[in-house]
Amino acid sequence: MKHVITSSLFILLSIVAPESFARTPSVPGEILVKFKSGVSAASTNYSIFRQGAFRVKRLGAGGFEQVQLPDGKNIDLAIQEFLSDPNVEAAQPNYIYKTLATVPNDTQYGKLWGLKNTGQTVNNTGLGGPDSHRSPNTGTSGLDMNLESAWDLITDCSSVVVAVVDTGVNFTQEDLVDNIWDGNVGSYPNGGYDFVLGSNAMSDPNGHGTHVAGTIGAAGNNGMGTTGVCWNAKIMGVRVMDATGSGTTSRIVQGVNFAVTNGAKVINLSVGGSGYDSAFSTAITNARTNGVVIVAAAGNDGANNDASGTPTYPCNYTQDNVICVAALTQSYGLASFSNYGATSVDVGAPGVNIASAWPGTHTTTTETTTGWSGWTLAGDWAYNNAFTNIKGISNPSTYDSSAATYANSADDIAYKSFNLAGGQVATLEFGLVMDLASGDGFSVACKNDGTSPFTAGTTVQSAVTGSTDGYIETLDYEITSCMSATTSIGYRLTSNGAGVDLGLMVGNMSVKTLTYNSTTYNLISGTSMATPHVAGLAALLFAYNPSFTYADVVSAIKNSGDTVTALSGKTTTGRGVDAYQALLYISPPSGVTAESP
Amino acid sequence: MKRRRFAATLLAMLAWTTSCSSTSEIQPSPTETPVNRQPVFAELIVSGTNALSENRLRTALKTLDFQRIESLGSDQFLIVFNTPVSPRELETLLEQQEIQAQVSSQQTYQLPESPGSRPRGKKIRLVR
Repeated sequence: MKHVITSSLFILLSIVAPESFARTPSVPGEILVKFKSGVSAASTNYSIFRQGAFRVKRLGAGGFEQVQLPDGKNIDLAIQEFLSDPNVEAAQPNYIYKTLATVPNDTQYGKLWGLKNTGQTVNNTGLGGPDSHRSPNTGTSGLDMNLESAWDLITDCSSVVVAVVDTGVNFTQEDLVDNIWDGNVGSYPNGGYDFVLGSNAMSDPNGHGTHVAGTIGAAGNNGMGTTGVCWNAKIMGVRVMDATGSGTTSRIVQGVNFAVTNGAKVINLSVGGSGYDSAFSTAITNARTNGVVIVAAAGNDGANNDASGTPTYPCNYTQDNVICVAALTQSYGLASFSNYGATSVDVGAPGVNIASAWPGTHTTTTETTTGWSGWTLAGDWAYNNAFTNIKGISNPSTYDSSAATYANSADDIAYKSFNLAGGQVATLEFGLVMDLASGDGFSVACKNDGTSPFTAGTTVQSAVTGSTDGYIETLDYEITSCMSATTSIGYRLTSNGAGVDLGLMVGNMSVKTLTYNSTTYNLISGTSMATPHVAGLAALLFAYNPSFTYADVVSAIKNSGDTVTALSGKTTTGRGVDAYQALLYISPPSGVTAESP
Repeated sequence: MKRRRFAATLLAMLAWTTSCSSTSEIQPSPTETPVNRQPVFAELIVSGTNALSENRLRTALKTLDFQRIESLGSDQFLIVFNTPVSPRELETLLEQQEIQAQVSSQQTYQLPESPGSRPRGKKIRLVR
């Protein structure tokens, strides 16, 4: 019975997937054969010699014998022939094993718990970025993607183009500079395209895309920095999100189509929107038609993507080339922020306290939460510290009296000068609570000479009205064009005289500048960080199995890996990805049944 | 979700005011869409199903007041209108020209926020 099943499987696998035996290296011209117990020495000699082979040696108590095949004899065929011999119990290639666990020499490798979890505590020491680690910041040894075993088989994905459709990539970063896409030999000399600026120049004014790229393909074993899932890679940078991390359908569609047209086999999409978008879906389908795997982030709202009110796209697109990824903690729990979905989110991957490449250093100026000194206020503004969660400037000056509304026909301005000299990028972030009457407006402007930004300045946000429904809305804007030693930033409330409402409050304000360099790394968390672990694995699979289709890659990722309790009922597979198991995964032939002889 | 909706609202408002200058003039706030009228947009995306060319699209749209057509690749195009148009109106026009295509509006996408870095989405009610 056992013989029949074993033999049948070998034969079936040889027919269905003839390359399967070759995928794990074996000694050329050699196989291992085990004869049934009780078979005479003469019979075993005959079985070997009739194949034109000879015995090299017996391998001890296990009963296997090392057999040298005649020159040119196909190993798979020889195994089939031996298995058809009634004296033979088993036959297999003489696999080559290396020292277990290929360990890279990168200086920050010890922080990469997702690749090798030793239960280490992860911090930002030596990375250069701000320490923003999350707690609990320790894990369970062994709960990782099993990359060291996978790297025994393959580390080089440079035959596969992986597109990072994101905020751009700083390809001058020391760990990415050697793994840049060649731009179809010159057409895109900087490794991609910037659809925000419409430019061949490639940079990353946000940092998110560079971090994602580093997880996929930071140069491995180069004695510096971090290690990518792929040690060698061809990363295509496609900038569709602006410096504040915002993008539109048209940019993303352009980016995805660009990646597909220019040969990407894997697209990392660590972005999210809440509505079904037929144009985006069409681009995903176009990618599938061209055999491209899309790896998407589940989202960081801690929400159920299956629920009708909280879907996240592209995660929720149902095309079979999409893999949606949740974030796992260092103990393989579902991260508290991670979205999930029993029918929409597929797998989990490391997404908490992830160290990777970063485009440069940030300087953050946080406006004081008490006093707000230095502001020029015109109109009914007040420095307001009345609320626990937001302290800033308010209009009107008193909210909590029964008559506190802003004045009819108001035109109230508040601005302040900040030193934003140095660096290449500046962004503004603030919290806003607003209740304005229809037709009235809140606007934001900046200017580079310290005077009122509402006089010949640059509009950052043109007038908007309405209500934030009582919630603090955090808003982000790029203000690079106003950068100087005296950058004035201002807020304005205007009333059209037709009616009034409660007013607005601005607080939690910070201004951040970025100075590019090539040596910075950073530690951050998110499903955005889990996603590139899977995108890198998809690239490994394509590189390891050049004949694989997108469906093979998706199948290998979804159907291998270990069951993770925290993902049970929260993802389609209940699995955390395992690179080694994915590389060895062979789709079982359909319709196979074992029969008794 | 609240934050997403507000961001989407901002984008929609920007679409309404797309023709406004980028100087310090306060722009008029968007007006309400009239009852029983399809929402109109300054930018729409056309996803063609079979080798749709920019020239064919340009010809088909000659009755509309549009500023430019931008290829997004793979038979997809962004159309920027001077006078906003509803998706249904554009779809009908394309059908009349025997162009098979889906029409959709721009949506906004965010990076999933780096979680927990600051208070977000906290509710504080402004009270009278």
